[in-house]
Formats: sequence, C-alpha cells, structure tokens
Amino acid sequence: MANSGVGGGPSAGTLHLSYGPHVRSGESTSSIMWQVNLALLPALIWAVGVFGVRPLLITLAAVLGCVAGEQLFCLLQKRRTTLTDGTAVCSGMLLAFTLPPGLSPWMATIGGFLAITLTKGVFGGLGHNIFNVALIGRAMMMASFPVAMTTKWIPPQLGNFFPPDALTTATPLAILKEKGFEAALASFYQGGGEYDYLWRLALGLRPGSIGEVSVLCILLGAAFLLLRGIIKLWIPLSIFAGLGLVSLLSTAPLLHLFSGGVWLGAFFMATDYVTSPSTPKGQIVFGVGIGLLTGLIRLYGGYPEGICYAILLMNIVVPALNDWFRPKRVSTMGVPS
Amino acid sequence: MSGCQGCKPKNLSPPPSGRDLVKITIGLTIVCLISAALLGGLYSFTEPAKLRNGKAREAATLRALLEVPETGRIEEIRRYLTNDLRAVYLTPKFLIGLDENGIEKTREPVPEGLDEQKRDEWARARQPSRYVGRFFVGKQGEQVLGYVVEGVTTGYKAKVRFFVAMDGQMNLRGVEILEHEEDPGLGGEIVKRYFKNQFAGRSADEVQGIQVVKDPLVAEWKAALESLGPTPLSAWLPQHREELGRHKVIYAITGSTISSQAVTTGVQKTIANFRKRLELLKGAL
Amino acid sequence: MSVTPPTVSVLLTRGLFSENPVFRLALSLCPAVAVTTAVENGLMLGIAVFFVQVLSSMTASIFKKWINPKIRIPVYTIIIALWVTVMDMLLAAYFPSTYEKVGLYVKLIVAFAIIISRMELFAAKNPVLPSTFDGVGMGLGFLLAMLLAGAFRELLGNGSFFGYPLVHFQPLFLLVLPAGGFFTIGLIMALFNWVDLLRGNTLPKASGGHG
Repeated sequence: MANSGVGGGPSAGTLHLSYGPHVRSGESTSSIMWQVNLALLPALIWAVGVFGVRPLLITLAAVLGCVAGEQLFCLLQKRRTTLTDGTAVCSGMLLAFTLPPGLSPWMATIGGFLAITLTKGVFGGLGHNIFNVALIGRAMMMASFPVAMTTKWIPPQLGNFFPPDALTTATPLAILKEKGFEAALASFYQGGGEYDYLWRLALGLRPGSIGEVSVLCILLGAAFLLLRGIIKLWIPLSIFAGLGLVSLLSTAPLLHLFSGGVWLGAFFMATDYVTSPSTPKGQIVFGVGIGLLTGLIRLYGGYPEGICYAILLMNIVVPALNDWFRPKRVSTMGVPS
Repeated sequence: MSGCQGCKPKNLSPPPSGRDLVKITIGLTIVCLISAALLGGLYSFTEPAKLRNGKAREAATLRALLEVPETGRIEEIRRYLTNDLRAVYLTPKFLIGLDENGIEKTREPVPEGLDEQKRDEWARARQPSRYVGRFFVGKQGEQVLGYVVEGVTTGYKAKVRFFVAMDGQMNLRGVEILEHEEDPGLGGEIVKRYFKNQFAGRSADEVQGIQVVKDPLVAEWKAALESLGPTPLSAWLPQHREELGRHKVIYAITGSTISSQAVTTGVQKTIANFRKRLELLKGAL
Repeated sequence: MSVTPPTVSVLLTRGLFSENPVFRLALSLCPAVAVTTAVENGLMLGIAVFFVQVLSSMTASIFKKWINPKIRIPVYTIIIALWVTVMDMLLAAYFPSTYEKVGLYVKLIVAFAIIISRMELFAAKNPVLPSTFDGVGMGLGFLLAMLLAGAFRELLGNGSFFGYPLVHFQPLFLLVLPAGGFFTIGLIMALFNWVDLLRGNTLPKASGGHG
C-alpha cells in the first residue's frame, strides 16, 4: 500500500511515508478494492430481495456517476484510466447503500459524480482525499434533495421485486427520534417477545437505506474482509464502544446499536485506508470519537442518523491522530522523522 | 513537518516617542472631526427623507392589507405601559388610561396640531410610561374595516418585525414582514408571498392552533399563494376558499424551519394578546 | 518601489481577470460566499462596493501626503467607513426598495479586505487619477466575480435567473446553501487558474496583487 497513511496535499514528486500496519499479503490496491466490492454484494442481494429491483438501479446509477467523475479526472490529468483499481465502483456502491431504496436513480448519478470529482479528483486522486468519498456524496445529496432523501422509504417485503411507487414510511430511527420507542417498534414489528424485534433488525426486515437494513449481510461481508486481513477490528469495535456508551443515555439502547448505518459505516466506511489513521492507538481514538458523535447526533442533533457526519468529522482529525500516535523510531540510522 | 518553533517576529519597530504620540492623536482627531462633520451634514438631509419613505411605505402597506378605499382612513393607536404595569392607550383623539383590571380610569383629549413625535412625548409626559407597541384601525366613517397589529418575534438570527392584519370578525387578512435579518435565500424567504400568504383568509382560532410542517409545498397551492397580492384578498378568497380548507397547515420554507416557526409563533402570540386587549378597548375606540 | 504606475488600460482591466480580487487575489471571500445566492443580490452589492472602492481609493490618494504612516490603517478604515455610511444614508433616503434588499450588506463593506488592501498597496503611493482607475478596475472585477458566482448558484441551485424561474424545480439546492457557496468559489477559482495556465502563466504566489 504505497499511498496510504499520511493523508495530505497533492504533490506528485514527494514520497509518502506511512507507518504500519501495512497489509503484507502482497496484494495490490485494486485486488483489495475488488474484494471489498465482493464483500458488499450480500447486502445488495438482500436489498433487492426485500425492496425490489430499484436498489439495483440506484447502485448502478451511483457507480455510473462515480465512474464518470473518475474518468473525467483521468482525462484532465492526461493519464491512463484508473477505473480498474475498483475504487470508483466501491465508492459508488457505498454511496448507493446509504440512499433510500425509493430514490430516483438519476439523483444517485449526480451524487456519485459530485462525490468523486469534489472529494477525490480536485485533491489529487487516490490516496489524497481527506474525506470519505461516499459519505461526502451522501451529505451533498442530503443538502440538495432533502425531501427525497428523507421520505422515499419502502416497506420491506420478501420476494417482492416490483413494489409499487415508494410509500413514504419512515425508518425506525426517525420514528424513535420524533415519537419514541413504542412507536418506532410498532412501525416494523408487531407482537412477539421482548427481544424478538432484534432478530428482525439483524435480519433486515425493516425500512431503511439500501445497504444498512441487514446487519447479518453486512457482517457476512465484514467477516470475509477480516479473514482476508483487509480490515482490522480496532475501528469497528471502538465505534460500537463509543456508541454504546452514549446510547445508555437514550430510552432504547439496543435499538440504537442494531439500527441504521452504524454497521455499514463501522465496517466499510470508517475502515477506508486513505481516510483513517494508520496506528492501532489512533484507530481506537478515531473509532471512539465516531461512536460518541454518532450517538450525540442521534440523540441531541437534528438528524435521526448520525454515523455519516460523525465519520466525516473524525476524518478531519486523522492527520493529527497520525501525528500524535506516530510510533517511536526504533533505530537512528538516518531515517527522517 | 513541525511548525516554526521559536520563530521571533522580525523588525519590531520602536514604540512611538512622546512627540509622535501627540502627532498621532492630533491627526486622528482631525480625521474624525472632518468625517463627523461631513456625515452629520449629510444626515440632516437624508434622515428626514428616510423617515418620510418609511412612513409612506408603511401607510401603503396598511391600506393594501385592509383594502381601505380612498375615502377611508387609518388610525394609529399606541400602547404604553406605566411603571405599575397599567396600560395607557393613545388614540388619535384621546389618551386613555386603564387601571389594573383593565377598566377605563382616565380619559383626556389630545391637543390638536401636534406631530407624531410631539404627541408621543406629550402622552408620556401626561402618564409616565414607556412605549411598548401599537396597532392600527382601518375605518370608513365610523365603520371598522379591520385591524393591523404590529408584532415582534425572534427569528433565526435577530428580531423579525411584522404586521398582522385582521378584519372585524377576527379573520386574518394577511401578514407582512417589516424588518428582518435572516439569510437571503433561506430565512429571508419569509417575505415571499408563498410563505407569508399562508396565513391569509384563516380565522384567528384556526391560526392559533396551526402547525408548521416540513412537507413540501404543492405547486398548485404555491401558485395560488403567489397570486394573492396582485389580486386583493376580497377577490382571491372566494376562488381559493376550498383549497385553503384543504391545506390546514403552514408549510415551512425549505431549509428554514426555524424562521418559519418563529414567524408562525409570533403571529399566534400577537393575535392572542391583541384579542385580549381589544375586548377591553372596544368601547373606548 | 517604483512609482511609475501602469497604463490606464492595464489598470482598468487587470481587475477583471489576471488580478480579479476574489478569484485570483482571494480577497473578500466572505461576501462572495454569503451574498451570491442570487444574481440580483450579487449585482447590488457589487455596485455598492464599486462606488465605495473608487471613492475610498480616490480619497486615500488625495490625502496621501497628510496621512501619518503610523496611523494609516485606522485612517483608511475611517475613510472607508465614511463612504459606506454616505452610501447607506443615500440609499435609505432615495432608493428605499434597493435599500431593503442590500441594506444589511452595505454596512459590512467596511470590513472588506479588498478596499483597504488597494488603498494600502496602490492609492497610498500613486497619483490621484491612476488610483481612481485602479479603484474602478478592482471594483469592476469584484462586480464580475459577484455576477459569475451569483449566476452559477442561482441557475444551478434555484433554477432561476434574476428572480425569473427558468425551470420549475431546483436542480441542485446544495448550491444555494453556504456549503455550495464555498464550492462555487473554489471551482471558479480553479477555472481562472486553469485559463491562466493555458495562457502560459504560472499560478499566483501571494494575495494582495501588484502595486
């Protein structure tokens, strides 16, 4: 991984030094990225299974937008295409996963295009972005299409491939924020024992964004990446620790922990090499910060879901974290600090 | 990688000597005096014009809100509060003082021929009090056409001053924003027809309990709201009464829920207070 | 520092592109972000700034021999404040409808970096007529910047131009929000830099511009 670690300004000639942990399996960036894309497929398949064919269209649209943006910048910089490294496709998929399943696909294309050009392109391309590309795309779309982004939810139905035009229900977290725990529960689960609703949340039978509904499918992909050594557990565990702490202040701690994009964000977005710290200590601080911020935004902020902005805010701190937690020099043989 | 540690600012100039200080002080004083003289001179020309503009605009707004015909007139009633919290009202003809229970206690005629400012001073001299608000009555002959109440609320940024116009049966005729410091394009949209006209035509009771919602404004209703203004309310209302009945909420401005809610709450409070006070004053007017 | 000023045509035109105060000298970015939500707002403020810039530069140049260098910054500020207040009073008295829209921003012109920077860098050292032309050039450049940014944001963010709706939806509402303002300024700046590179020049090094 030549370009990971020290995020910073665009400079073609300087050498990027970074400190471990490096992936030592000898894999290239593109190989890793395509494995990440593979790991995202279970969640996409589940989404198509319960929400119909629209999530697939949205995902394709978002990927198209990202690919277009990436290609534009390759053209402007007069270099061979970088599409084969899989990062544009990955950003497109992740962006799509944060969108409501009833959204018009063209909005996703615009979002993907803006995300790649303004987050990655203008900063210099792969390895130079400060912020997570997919999340900036989502933030921009949230600002540009506020009504569509908050109302186009679809109630999940197994095997219903062509659902009617999106019915505007609300997500459990949104109802939790406005009307409280009982109402949130009633919105997607009727009857059963005290903790049975957790099973529905874990499986993914509730309204939500394309990629966030099924905790199990996310875990499936995450397990694959963990086994291949592509991601480590520091960041995700720290995020849940931080969120768990803050959610004790709420009326429904378990609903918080099992809901929403926390799982998607913790395993796939916060662990992005370019925008996260490179040392375990830094990663723990990063993760705890994200968890705390997510909880605070959910409970006291204006949005029902906070993981998106929490990660973006902590992205800003990453260079500082890398600086503070730099491992000490082992030898003094001419290695510059 | 690390910043400039221990950098010292270069070339610190020596502190000014006594003579220098005197020169500096004199220089600045002269500049300030000249500027003050210029500005003061210009002020004496422009301030009266500015006030005249303000008054003219206000009068035009009031006449439009109440649809006062040429033969009608607008009367201003100012409200003062004494130190022991009794209300005092200055109408065009009388200065009326109320006691703690709101019963009329004193009434004296206002001297003729005083301009606005002098009337205000006279009123506060006769009954030591401070100015707290005002409202207007539109009249034709002795018949009351309607009321316009001035209200203030705190918006997203600073105070928002507005008029609420009502007819004799306490139905709203409209809301006009007079002053605000909200962001253009966001909170600043409260002056636009598609927002402020959402109050017009509703009864005071309906407005009292109305909710502000974040739902989007339907295109047809928006077009209808935009047409009120060029079309006076008396012509607009019969055409759109049914639509008004279907939209029993205030649609907030996209991205400015706080400003929208602030204006709504301000209007509600203003109406509530005014209705209370009008009861007491009806006889006196 | 050489005192022979550039030619009149250079003075009048360099503020438009090569030394555009907003997009090349990176001055007065606050109003560029805040007031450009619509073309009309940008136009009004641009015109107001234009007048204040010309008058302030002229005044600073006329009195340059009498201004004690040790207190030049407060004196420049007073000069700008003087003209801003004059503008404010004249607008309030004789152009009330314009004043309603722009009044709030006219008062803020005192703090704009561009005006005091031109007084310090140019008017303080040059004769009256060139200083006036410099003020005109920079004022026009600022006006152009406001119009460009305002047009971009209003067209793409609100679907309208000068208040007249061109399309009946909002293409990208993000542009009307403050974040969009920052992106707009950055993008147009990049555009100016790119055009400059195409013309064979290097990128500018520091803000403030030439004397």
